[in-house]
Amino acid sequence: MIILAHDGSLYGDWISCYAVNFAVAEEDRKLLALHVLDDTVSAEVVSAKFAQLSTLCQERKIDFSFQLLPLGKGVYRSLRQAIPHNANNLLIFGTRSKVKKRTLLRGSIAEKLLRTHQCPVLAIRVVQPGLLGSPEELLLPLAGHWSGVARIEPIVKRLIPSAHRLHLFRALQVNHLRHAHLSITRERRLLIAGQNYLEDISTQLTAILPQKFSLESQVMIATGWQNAVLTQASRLKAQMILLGVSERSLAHKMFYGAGVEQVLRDTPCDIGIYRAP
Amino acid sequence: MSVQQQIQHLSSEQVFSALQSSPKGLSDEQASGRLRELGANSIEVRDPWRLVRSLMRQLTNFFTLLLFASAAICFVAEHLQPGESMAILGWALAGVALLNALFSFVQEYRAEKAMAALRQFLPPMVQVQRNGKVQKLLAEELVPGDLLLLREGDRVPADARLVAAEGLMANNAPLTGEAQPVALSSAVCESRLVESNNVVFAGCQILRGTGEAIIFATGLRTEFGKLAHLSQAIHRDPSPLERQTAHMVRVLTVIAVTLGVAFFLYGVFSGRSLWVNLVFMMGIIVANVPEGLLPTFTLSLAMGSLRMARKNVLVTSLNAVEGLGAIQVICTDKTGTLTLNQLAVNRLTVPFTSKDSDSGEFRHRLLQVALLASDVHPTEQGFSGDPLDVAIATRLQQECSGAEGSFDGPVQFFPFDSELKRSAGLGTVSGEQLFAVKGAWEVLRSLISEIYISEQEICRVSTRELMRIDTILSELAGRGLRVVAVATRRMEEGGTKQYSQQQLERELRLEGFIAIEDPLREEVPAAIASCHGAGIDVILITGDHPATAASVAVQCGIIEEKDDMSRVMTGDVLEQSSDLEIQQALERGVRIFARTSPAQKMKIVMAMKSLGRVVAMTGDGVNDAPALKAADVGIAMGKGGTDVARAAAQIILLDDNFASIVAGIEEGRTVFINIRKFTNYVLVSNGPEILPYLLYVLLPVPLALTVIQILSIDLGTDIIPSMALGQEPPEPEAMLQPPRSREFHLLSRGLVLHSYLFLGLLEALWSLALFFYVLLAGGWQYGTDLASNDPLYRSATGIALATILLMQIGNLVGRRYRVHSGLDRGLLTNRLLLLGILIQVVFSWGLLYFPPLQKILGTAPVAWPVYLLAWCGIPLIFGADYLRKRIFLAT
Repeated sequence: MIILAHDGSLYGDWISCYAVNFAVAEEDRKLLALHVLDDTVSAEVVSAKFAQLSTLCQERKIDFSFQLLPLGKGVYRSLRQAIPHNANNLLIFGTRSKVKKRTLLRGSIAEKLLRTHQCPVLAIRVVQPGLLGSPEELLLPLAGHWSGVARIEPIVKRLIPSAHRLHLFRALQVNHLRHAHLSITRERRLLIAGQNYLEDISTQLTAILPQKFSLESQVMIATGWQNAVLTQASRLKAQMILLGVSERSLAHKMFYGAGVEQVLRDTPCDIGIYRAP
Repeated sequence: MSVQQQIQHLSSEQVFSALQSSPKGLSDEQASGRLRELGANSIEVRDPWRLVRSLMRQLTNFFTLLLFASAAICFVAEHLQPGESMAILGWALAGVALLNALFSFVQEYRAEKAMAALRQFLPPMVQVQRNGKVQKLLAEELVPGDLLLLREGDRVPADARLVAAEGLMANNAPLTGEAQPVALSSAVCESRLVESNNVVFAGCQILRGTGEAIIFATGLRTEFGKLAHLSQAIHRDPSPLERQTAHMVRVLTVIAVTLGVAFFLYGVFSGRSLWVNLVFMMGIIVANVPEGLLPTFTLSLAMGSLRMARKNVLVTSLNAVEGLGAIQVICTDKTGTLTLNQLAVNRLTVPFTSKDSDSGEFRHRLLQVALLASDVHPTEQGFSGDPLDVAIATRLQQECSGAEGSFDGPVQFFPFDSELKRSAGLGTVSGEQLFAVKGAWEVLRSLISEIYISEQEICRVSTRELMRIDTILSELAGRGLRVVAVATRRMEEGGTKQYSQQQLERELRLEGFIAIEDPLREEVPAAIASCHGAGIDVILITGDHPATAASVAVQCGIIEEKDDMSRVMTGDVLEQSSDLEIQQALERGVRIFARTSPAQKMKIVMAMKSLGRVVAMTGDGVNDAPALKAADVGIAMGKGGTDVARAAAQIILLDDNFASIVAGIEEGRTVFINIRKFTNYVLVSNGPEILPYLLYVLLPVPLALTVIQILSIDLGTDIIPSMALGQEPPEPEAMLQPPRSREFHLLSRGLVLHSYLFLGLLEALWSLALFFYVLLAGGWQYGTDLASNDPLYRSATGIALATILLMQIGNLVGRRYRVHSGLDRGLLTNRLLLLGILIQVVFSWGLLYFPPLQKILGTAPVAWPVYLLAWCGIPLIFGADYLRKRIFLAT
C-alpha cells in the first residue's frame, strides 16, 4: 500500500501524482491519503482535492481511501499515530520551502518522518510538475556504504514502471587542496575502487530490475559531492534524483546536511529522499 | 512506451488541470505561491562565494604559501635587525606571490562571459495571461502553470506545453544544434518530452505563427537551464601543465622547507644567534625556490598564445596553450572543420543507377520537384536559406536558363523536421500539381509505392527493388556524398484544401536522388597524417549517414578502409550504450560517430576521459558548450560558432579549419619543450645558490652569496634568458613523438640530477673556487670571520655572483637543444637570447665595477685577470655539457 501524507496544498497535489503512479504498481493497488487538519487549508478544500484524487484512482483501478485527521499534539504526531506500520507499505510526502526558514528538509515534518518512521519512506520535492510523477531517467547517487540496496529497493521497484534508465553515481569527494596535487596513479586507484563499489551495487540491483532496463554507472572525483550530483543530473537530463540521507553523527549531519539542502534547492529535476543506512 | 504519462501525452484540457491552471491563466496569489516554492525563472547558478573561493584557492597553493612565508620571515628579520634591506626583499617576495595568484584568478574569472552569452537567449519581458488579462511580465517571474502567449520573433522564456498553435514554427537550434525550423502543434504527442513537437523549449525562438502554452518547467529545470547549468558548473580538470607545475612546486617546497628547517635547528643547537639562523633559513628557502620560474611560465604561455594567434588559433585561457600540445585525442566535427561547408550538387541519379543522369529533362524535373520541398529565397547576393536548399536552387539556376529556371515556390510548405528527417511542399511543377518530399532514404523508404525508371517506365515497389536501391545508396554514400531522396505524389488540379503532411505522405513515387558533396579542405589529409605521426587519435563526430562519414574519414585518413564499419558507431547505438560500452568501443578502434546529435558529444568526451586520455573537442553550437567545457581542451569555431560555444571554449579557431588545430598542437608541444628547457636552465643556478649556505653552516667560512644576490639572479638576470628559451622555434621532431603520458613529470629525476648535481655543481664549484681565490689572495685565513661591509668580502661575493651569471650564458646556449650543442641553431636567430646574454655580461661587469650596483648588491671590484677567469666558466660549463651530450645522447 502507498500512504500519502498530503498537506492540502497544490504541492501536495503534485506529490499525489507519484502516489497514484506508485499505487498502480502495488499488488493490492491501495492508496491511503492522510491529511492533518491544522487550519492552514480548510477541510472542504482538502475534501474536494481528495474527491478529485478518488476519481483519478477509480479511472486507474486503485483502491483509494483517505483520512482527515484532527490536529493532536502537532502535525507530526498526529500523522505518526495514523500511519499504519507495515514493511511493505511506502510512505510518501513532500519537502517544501518554509515561509520563514530557508531550509527545505532540516527541521521539517518530512525530516522527522524520514528519521523515525520504521517502514520505507520517500520525501519528494517536485520542481517539474510537467513530469506528472512519471520520471523516465533516474539518478541514484551513492555515498559508498557497503550495506547493499535494501533501503533503495522498495523505491526503485515502484519507479520502474515509468523509468527506463537508472544511473548509479559515486562522487568521490577530495579536498580542493589535495585535488590539484592528486597524482594520476592515485586518481586511477580511487576511480577503480569507486567502480568496483558501483559494480557490486549494479549486480544487486540487476536482480530486482526488469530485463531490458538500462543500468549505467559513473564514478567521478569531485571537490564537492553536491555540485557533482547536480552537474551529473543536468548532464544526464535526469528526471529524478534519488538521494539517501543518514545522520550517524552530529558532524555528519553538519557536513552533509548543508549539501542535501543545496541539492534540494538547486535540483534541476524532481528529487526523492530516502533514508540511507 | 510506458503506461504512465507526462505533460506531452495529455490533451490541452488535461494540461490545464494537471498544472492547476486555466485558459484565464493563474491568479497573482497562485503565481506568488509557486514562485516562492520553486524560485525565479533564472538560469543563473547562485554562488555568491564563487569568486572569493577562487581567489582563496589561488592564494593557498603551495608556491604562493611558500613565497608568503618567506616574505614573513623577511619582515621578522627586518624587525630583529633593521637596515639589512630585508623589508624590501619581503615586499618583493609578497609581490611575486600576489601577482602569481591574481593572474591565475583572472584566468578563472570567465564563467561570467558564458553566462552573459547564454542570457541573450532568454527574453527579459514576456506576455502572459494572468487573472484573465494579458499582462507583460518580467520573464524571471514566470512559474509553472502560467499561460504564455507566443508570436513570431519571440524567444521562449521557459519550457511550456502548447495548448493552442496556429502555423507555429520554432528554431530549436540552441538545444538541438539543428538550424532547420520545427513545426509545432498543440496535439497530443507520444514521443519523449525532449522530442515532442507540442512543447516549446526555453531559449528557442518562434519563427512563425502564434500560440499559447502552459509553462511546466522554469529556470534551471528547463532543458536550456540544464545546459546553462552545465556551462557554468562544470569545472575543467587541472591541465597537464597545472598538474606538473603543482608537482614541481610541491617537490621544491618540500626540499626547501626541509633543508631550511633542518639547518635552522642545526644552527640553534650549535649556538648561533636567532637572527643569523633566521637569515640562514630564509637564504636556504630562497635559494631553493626558483622565484622567477612561475612568472616566466606565464610569460612563455602568453608568448605562445601570440604565436598561435598568428596561426588562426586564438587562445582564451593560457593553460590551453600547453594543453593543446598535450592532447592525445581530437574529437572533431565534419562540416566546416574537415570540409569547406560549401554544399554543391554532385550528381542527379535515376533510382536504379549511381551514375549522373545525362537526360536534361530528368535533371530539370528532379531539381524542380526537390525545390518544391525547399525553403529558399532569392536575394541580391544569390539564394538564402538552408545550405542544402540553396545548393539545389543554385544548380537549377545553372542548368536551366530563362523561364525554365524560374520557380514559383510551394503553396504549402512543411519544414524540415529533425525527427522525421524530411521536408515537403505542395505546388505546381510544369503545370502539374504535386506534393513533393525530400529527405533521408531511410525514412522515405517505407512511404514509397512506385519508382520512376524512365519517362515511359514506372515500376511498382517490391522488396527486391528496395534492396537494389539500398545498394546504390550505400555506394553513393561510400563516395562521401550526402544523398537526398526525392519523391512525389500527383494531386488533383485546383484543390485549395490545406492538408496535413501525414495525409499527403502516401503512395509516393520515388523520382530520383540528389547527391550532394561538401569538398574536403585541401590541407586536412596532411594535418591528420601529422596527427597520426604525432600519436594523436582523431575521432569524427557527424550527423551524416555512416557510409558518408566513413568515406570522408577515409579521404581524410582517419581510417584506412571505408568498408570497415567496425570503426563506426551510430547515434542510436551511442544513445543505448553505457559509458563502459562506449569506452570498450573506443578501445576496439571506433573512430567515427555518425548520425549523432550534438548532445551526444558529452558522452564521447566522458568515455575518452575515463580511459585516461587527454581530449580536445570541437564545437560551434550552444548545446556544444557542456562538452567543450568537459573536454581537456574545448575548441570553438570562430566563424561559424555561437557566442556561447566561444565563451565555453579555451581555443577559438579563427578559420574553422582542422589544420589550424594541428598547427596549434605543434606550438603547444613546442611551448612545453621550451618550458622544460628553461626550467632546466633556471634550476642549474640553484646549485651555486644552495652550496654556499651549506658550506657556511658546516664550515667556518664566509657566506659566498647573500639573499639579495640570489634574488638578483632568480628575479633579475635569469628572466630574459628564460623567456628567450621560451621563444625557441619548434624542433623538427616535435610532431614525430607520441604525446607525453599523463604521468610524465616536468621535474623528472633526470632533470633534477642534470640541473643540481651536474651543471649546478659545476657552476657552484667554479664560482666558489674564485670566491675563495679572491679571499685567500686578499689575506683571509680559514676560520676567520669577515664583516659584511669588508671590501675583501664584498669583492669575493662579487666575483662569485659574476661567475654564476657568466656561466649561465654557457648553460643558456646548451639548453637550446637537447641533443645538439645549441650553437648550431645560430645565436642570431633568437634576438631575445642575445639580449639575455647581453644582460648577463653587462650585469656581471656592472656588479663589480659600477658603484650604484655595487651598493645595492653589496659587492666590490676585483682585478681584471680574476674577472677574466670568471669568463672561463662559459666554455667550461658549455664544453662539459656538450661532452655529456656527445657521450650519452649522440645515439
